[in-house]
Amino acid sequence: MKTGVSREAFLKLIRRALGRREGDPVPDAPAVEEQTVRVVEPEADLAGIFAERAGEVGLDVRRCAADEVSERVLAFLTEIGAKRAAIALGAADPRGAIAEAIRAAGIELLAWQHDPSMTAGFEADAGITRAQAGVAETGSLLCRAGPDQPRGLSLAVPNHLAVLSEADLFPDLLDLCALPAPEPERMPSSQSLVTGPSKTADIEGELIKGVHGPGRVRVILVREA
Amino acid sequence: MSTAPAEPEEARPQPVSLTVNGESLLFPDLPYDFHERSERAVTDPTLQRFIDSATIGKDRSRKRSCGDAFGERYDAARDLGGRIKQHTLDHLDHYVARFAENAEAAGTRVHFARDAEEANTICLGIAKREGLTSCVKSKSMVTEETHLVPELERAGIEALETDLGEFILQLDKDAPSHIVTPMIHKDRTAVARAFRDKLGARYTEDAAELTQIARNHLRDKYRRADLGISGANFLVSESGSLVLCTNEGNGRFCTSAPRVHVAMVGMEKLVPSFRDLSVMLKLLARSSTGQPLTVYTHIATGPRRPEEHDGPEQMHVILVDNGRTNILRDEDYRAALRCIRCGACLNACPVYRKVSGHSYGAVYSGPIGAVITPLLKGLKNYPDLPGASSLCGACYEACPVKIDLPRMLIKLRRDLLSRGVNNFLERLSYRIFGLGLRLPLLYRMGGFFQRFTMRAAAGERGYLRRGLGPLRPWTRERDFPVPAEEPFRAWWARRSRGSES
Repeated sequence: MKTGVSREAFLKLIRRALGRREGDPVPDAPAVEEQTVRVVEPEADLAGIFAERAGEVGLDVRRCAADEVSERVLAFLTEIGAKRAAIALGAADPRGAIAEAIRAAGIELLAWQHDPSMTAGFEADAGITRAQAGVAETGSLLCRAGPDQPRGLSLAVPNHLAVLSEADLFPDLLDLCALPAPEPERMPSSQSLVTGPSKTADIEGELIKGVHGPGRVRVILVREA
Repeated sequence: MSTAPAEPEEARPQPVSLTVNGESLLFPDLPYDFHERSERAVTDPTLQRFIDSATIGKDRSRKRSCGDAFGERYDAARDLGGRIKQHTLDHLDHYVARFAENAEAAGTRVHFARDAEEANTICLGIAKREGLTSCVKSKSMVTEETHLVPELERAGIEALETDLGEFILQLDKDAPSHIVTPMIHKDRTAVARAFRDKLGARYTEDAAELTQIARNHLRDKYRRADLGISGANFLVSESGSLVLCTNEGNGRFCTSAPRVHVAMVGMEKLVPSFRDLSVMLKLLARSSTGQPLTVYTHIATGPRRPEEHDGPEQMHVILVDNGRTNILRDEDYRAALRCIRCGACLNACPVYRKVSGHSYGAVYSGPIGAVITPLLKGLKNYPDLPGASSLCGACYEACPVKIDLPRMLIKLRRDLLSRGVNNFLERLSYRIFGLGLRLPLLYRMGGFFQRFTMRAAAGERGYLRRGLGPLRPWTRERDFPVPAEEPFRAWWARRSRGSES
């Protein structure tokens, strides 16, 4: 039975193919030239560009003020006729007022805490989460797993609503990727850039939404106070 | 026990278990005949209609999307993408070592496989140790290389492809024909039949309904699966992260819902840092489908943390060589490993558009396939592939990491000659042709002979209807125009004399 080789043996094969020896110097990687690959400049109208690009990829963006978030969330749930939802807004709903308003509207809220089988995500009509960042260049949301954010509510649900603050917008992918990365052991296990609803064009090139992930994604873009 | 990695010439054919309509023809015993396969493709009207419109549409989207983002800088952006990947390959030992350290710090188990058999054995070993029985799998070209799915099934593990296209191919026991859109060769009626016959679904040709059938079927599988298998589009060396790009969300699903996540990844997928990753991501989706980014760009770094709520308990990465050191070793071909599998060269290639993916007889098709298949699995097993190109250069223009595919194809043709892989007659004709080009007198005589005989044979029409010898395959499809009465050199001399006076 061939069960693979040690890291050292594997590296030795690579070194031999490259004609390198252990400890040979490695020059710096090519500089990432901003002027070559930057698409959106930092001083641009980020909210405007984000809304436009996100719209192009099929995200349904609504802009509102901070005190309107609760009613916007309810409006969405009513629109899709949600009976059951799950909410993980973390810092975007610190006192749980939005969750309370949903419950008051007669919509059942499912618990999602410590749920590796993502039951809440599979069974809720809608998942409500906070997007930790947005990228204007591509119209993307960043969904990062953490103590206040599960994976399932932006993945297994048929309808996803993300609350994103304008303050969390990055102009370009370059800017998001330039953030100092924490030690590997401190990084979230999952960081997803979500750029549209789940899509396929596998059947004769016809665009269909909602293959595995949510078919509808609404973004509530909250103006800076 | 295994020995040193196989040289390309010793590469053995992979086991073949695929059939189409009961015929075992997709990945046959080697060597196989490109011409026979491609003939089948070009005479299939459905295939022709589909592949042509799909590839031309995607090629147009790529140009529009890259043009919108980079404008005049498009070429410079491709150049940067190419330099980043080349640097990584040139120092791959360093980046693999750093990746392994960081991934293990993040809680990922990293394994190393020299070939397909080792890779599959590692994966099956994990499944056995953990008692896993049900697997959901997202698209991964390297698992196609190693034929992982049949191996899992043989071990009694239910293994389901979840990419919609791959799912349908699996139901039909068919093979992918495009790197990005694997079932580009199938139409909706084929999908409708597969779902009716294999899933017991109501017959419908509505794409939305068909997708819904697949969704319902697969959601149930995600909930029950205990093993998720993926590939990776990139591995980030500085953090030990794995990056998975899908539009459907199946990649994120397969790596989130099951208890154990195993990723099988070609070792060339590394990039040094997140900053480098951002450049590659900017290029990948725009080159592939014309999107700014794939819908789900999923970055997985280790298994679920204690403070997190969902995600796998275990994460494994199997780094696979499987012939890649053969390519790495040769500096003329090393750049072929820059490939980020965007499929742009397939969409741009006039030959791929006609013959479609299955003609290439291997996992990787199109211009990139014509280069890396012979390199990975032995030139003598695929002697036709270096010729499966018109050398028009469209693939090079489309490539987001500037792999000089035409140059490599020419080099492969030279290798065929110098290693005596092609047959005696072919070598002899090249020899004669070479001699003719070197000796002016012989060249002139050859030209005279050609003009005289072809013009005589064509008569009044000016076209040859039925050629002899090497011309025969050409004239089977179309007429052959005869050379002009006056050779170019004579015309040129006459013209030069005219302008002097």
